[in-house]
This record gives sequence, C-alpha cells and structure tokens, in this order.
Amino acid sequence: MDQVTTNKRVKVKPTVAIRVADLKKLKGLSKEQQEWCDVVATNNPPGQVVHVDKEFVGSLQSKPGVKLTDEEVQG
Amino acid sequence: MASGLSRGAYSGRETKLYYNSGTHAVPAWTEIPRGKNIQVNDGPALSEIEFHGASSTGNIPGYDKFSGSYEYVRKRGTDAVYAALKSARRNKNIVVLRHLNQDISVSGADGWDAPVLLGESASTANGGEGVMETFPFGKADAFDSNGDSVEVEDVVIA
Repeated sequence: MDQVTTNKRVKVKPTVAIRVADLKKLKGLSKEQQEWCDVVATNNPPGQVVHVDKEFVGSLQSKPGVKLTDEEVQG
Repeated sequence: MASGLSRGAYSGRETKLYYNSGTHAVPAWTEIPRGKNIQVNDGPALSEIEFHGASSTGNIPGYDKFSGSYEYVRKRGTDAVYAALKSARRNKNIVVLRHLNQDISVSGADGWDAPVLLGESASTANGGEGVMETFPFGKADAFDSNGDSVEVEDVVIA
C-alpha cells in the first residue's frame, strides 16, 4: 500500500448542560452573545436542556447576573 | 466480582443522538431522546468490474457517501424536538447531528458529527406499537460563514 490514511478523530470541546429559560436572566451580554442566546431561545422551548461549550458558558457568566450551571439540570 | 475488568460492547440504548440548535460557531446540542434504530451507511460505493480474460470480478472505489436514518417515537402533546426536526425537513434546512456512544457530558465519548438534510419520511401507526416516524438523512453540501466546507467528522469529547 503506497499511502495509509488513518481515521482522524476530532477532539471537540467539553460541554455543560444549561436550561434555555435561564439565558433570559443573563445581563451585560455582548451583541454576539445576545444574538446567540436569541437563536437558542428561538430554537428551543424554555424548559429545554441544551449542552454548550463550557468555556462559552463561562464567558456568558462572567458578567454580573444569574449563574447558568448552579443547579444540576437533567437531560 | 473480579476487579480490573471493564465491559467492551455497548448497546444502542447507551448511545445518544443530538442536533445542534445553536449556531455553527457555538453549538447548543439538544438531545433527541425519543430516537431509536439509528442506522448509518458510510464509505465508498464500489463498482464491480468484469475484466476480459479474468476468472473473477474486481471492485474499484467510487464516491464516498454518508447517509442513514433514525426512527422517532412520537409523543402526545407538545413535542419541541419533533417540531424542530419536522420544520427542518419541510424547510430543507441543514441539521447537524451528533451521535455518541455515551452521554455528551462524558469525557471520551465518541461518535460522529454530520451536516445532513432530512429526506422523505415514512410514519407508521400500527396496532399496539408506538407511533413512529422514520427520518432518512444524507450528508448535506454545507459551508460555514468562512466558505469552508463542513464535512462529516469522527469526534471525541475532550
């Protein structure tokens, strides 16, 4: 065999579970963050649990407001 | 019970299917909890060649293909996940599916991400069985906002 191509697995970022309704409680978001929250709130009912990049959720919580991951949410 | 042993095989019920309900840049993975019987065909189509003067045929690889289907057991009343999938199919929107061998919260869970289009569905309502809809899917010709092609990827949660 001239060439061997191995199957590459892409490492994807770990996620945390948040409840969509809690996104509305966040304050002081940037325009991009607010737009993202609006997309997720449009595509999901308020009670839905979604799994989101842990770092991004951390950045959403960096401003004073409501923590998204205080309570353990069940998928 | 002997220590130092771990189970190898896993069953379909242990796997999890999600779709991205956020943006491509920052996905929000919503579980499809009522999905079942997820089937995927992945790999090149093979063309069989009948060579003159040979006693047996040979195959050559053609285009790679990624397609499959899953069944969705309908829920009475409001079902946001079903509504989202149906809407994506009706509007011909690209859905990014993620199928993992464990919960998405588990480091090391692996599976695939795929941008797909949902095709013509068949639904069944038969006797004592759950009412189900089959969602066939095929890899979409998808591009991100930078114009880069979005392909099927084997993924592992870091």
